Amino acid sequence: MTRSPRRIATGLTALAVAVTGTAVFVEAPSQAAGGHALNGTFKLTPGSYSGGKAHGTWFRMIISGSAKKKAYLPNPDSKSKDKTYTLGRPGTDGGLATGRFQPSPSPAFGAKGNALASKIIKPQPFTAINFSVATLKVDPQSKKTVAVTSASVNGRKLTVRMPGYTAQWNGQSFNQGAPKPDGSGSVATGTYNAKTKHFVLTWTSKISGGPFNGYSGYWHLEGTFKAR
Amino acid sequence: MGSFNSPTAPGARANRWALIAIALIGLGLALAPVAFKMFDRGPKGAAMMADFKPFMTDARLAGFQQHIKDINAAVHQGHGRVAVALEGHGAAAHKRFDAKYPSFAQFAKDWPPINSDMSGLLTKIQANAGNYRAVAALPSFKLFPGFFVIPGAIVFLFALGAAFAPRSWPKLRWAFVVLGVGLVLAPIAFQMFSRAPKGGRMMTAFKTIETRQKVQTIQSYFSTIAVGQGSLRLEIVPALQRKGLSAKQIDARFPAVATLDRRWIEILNDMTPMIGAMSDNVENYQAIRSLPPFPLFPWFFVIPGVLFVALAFVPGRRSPRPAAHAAVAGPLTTPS
Repeated sequence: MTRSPRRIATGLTALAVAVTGTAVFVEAPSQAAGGHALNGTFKLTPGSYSGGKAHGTWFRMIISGSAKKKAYLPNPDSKSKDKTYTLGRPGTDGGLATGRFQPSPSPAFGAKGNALASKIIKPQPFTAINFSVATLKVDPQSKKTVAVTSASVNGRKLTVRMPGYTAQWNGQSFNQGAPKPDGSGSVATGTYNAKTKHFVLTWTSKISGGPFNGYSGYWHLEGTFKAR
Repeated sequence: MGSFNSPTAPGARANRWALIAIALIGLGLALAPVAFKMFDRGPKGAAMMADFKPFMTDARLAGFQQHIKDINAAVHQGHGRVAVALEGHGAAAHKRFDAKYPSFAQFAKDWPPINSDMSGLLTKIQANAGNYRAVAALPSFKLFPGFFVIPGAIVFLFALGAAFAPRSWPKLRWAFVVLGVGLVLAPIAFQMFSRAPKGGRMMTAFKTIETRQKVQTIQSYFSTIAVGQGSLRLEIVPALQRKGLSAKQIDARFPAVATLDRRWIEILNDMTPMIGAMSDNVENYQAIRSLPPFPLFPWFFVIPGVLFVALAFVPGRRSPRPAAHAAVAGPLTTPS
């Protein structure tokens, strides 16, 4: 039985496509897994500040150009004593969900630029204009379609991938994904107690473009995981 | 190309060196965008022009100046009459005010250089709004490479045609003339002689503005202003209210503070996108900056255009007429 070189080439190409395709599909869940997957919602504990420390859910914006000591952009509207912390309160979904996007409504902003997304956290004033977060399927900055939020736990180590995590403020969207839609940056990591379901999740995500270009968001989510 | 002076071709022939020069100039014109990386830089320039467009109107720029004036007035009033109203007259009272409202005190201290820098920067941008509009009225930067490649490639191909088909010269000569005249007229039609130097002036003026360092400085101003305004809005105005002043009374006694409070969101809505546009276009600006100076651009069309016309009229060799050829050849070939 003889085969023409063209047939062999076609067959090899098809095989290569099939192998690559399979690798892509196998790779996606295994990257998220790295232990066992957590499917559900990371219910957030409201942020608070006491004893010189922030607790629960909060966010800080790191100003670029800081060397040894990090400098943060203060938010005068923060309820925290230390105004560099913006405290978060759980939104209508109670927190960050895996396996689905938590988009902002349409339109995403009110007339004065206030962010209206309220599923993950409630909108919070940031220098007089409300900011909020959403997980978006298409990153508004890079226009890339991103993977849905996924989480895995390995022992006590929690890993969350959420490239679509986006902060919105003053009519503008800033990707705060972990990793970023282009794959740069790192995943969000933290701890998870399988018995109590208590979790702490942190990540840093650089802001690319816009008025805060070069700054980084530091996110600290804390609460209790609720499986779906 | 050895055939274009073929003695068998009838009619006028191209001058060999003129045709080589035309081909080389055409090739140079076609390759200029590659040499100047215009395919990469042109779209970046177009992106910058598009991003700046919403901010480069006289009304918007005047609005930015007004924002700075409003902030300046509120800082002075806040650190002056408001401080007196809250803590009384004298240095000790002022010290008390600064201690009670450290964020605002710091803002009042940081503000004068910010005011000076931002006012100067906005004046510079405002002064170049006309220059910006002149550049914006030119065809898009995206199209610029095509303006070189298309005529350059046509000229080069026609020159090759003339070289390999010498009989086509009488017609192709006129094609070179038309293309040359077109290249000379294009900058005139697009008013490049007046607009390109204006673009050059804008690029020079923005040299100190569109840098990463300057943008970071402006970003830090935003932080300072936001914190200071926050103190005014969330600490000082409420303190006045606790003193028994109604919103109406605050408005009447401290109009500058009330105005900033009222306009703050509008100011943020207006100014943060501008900072964003400045930040997003640092690399785009640098890309255009790396192009040859704007005032030279019209000449990149006019000089080759004039040369094409001139070279098309360089006299070539004229082939001898068949009858004359026979008459001359006859006696030489006839044995006596």
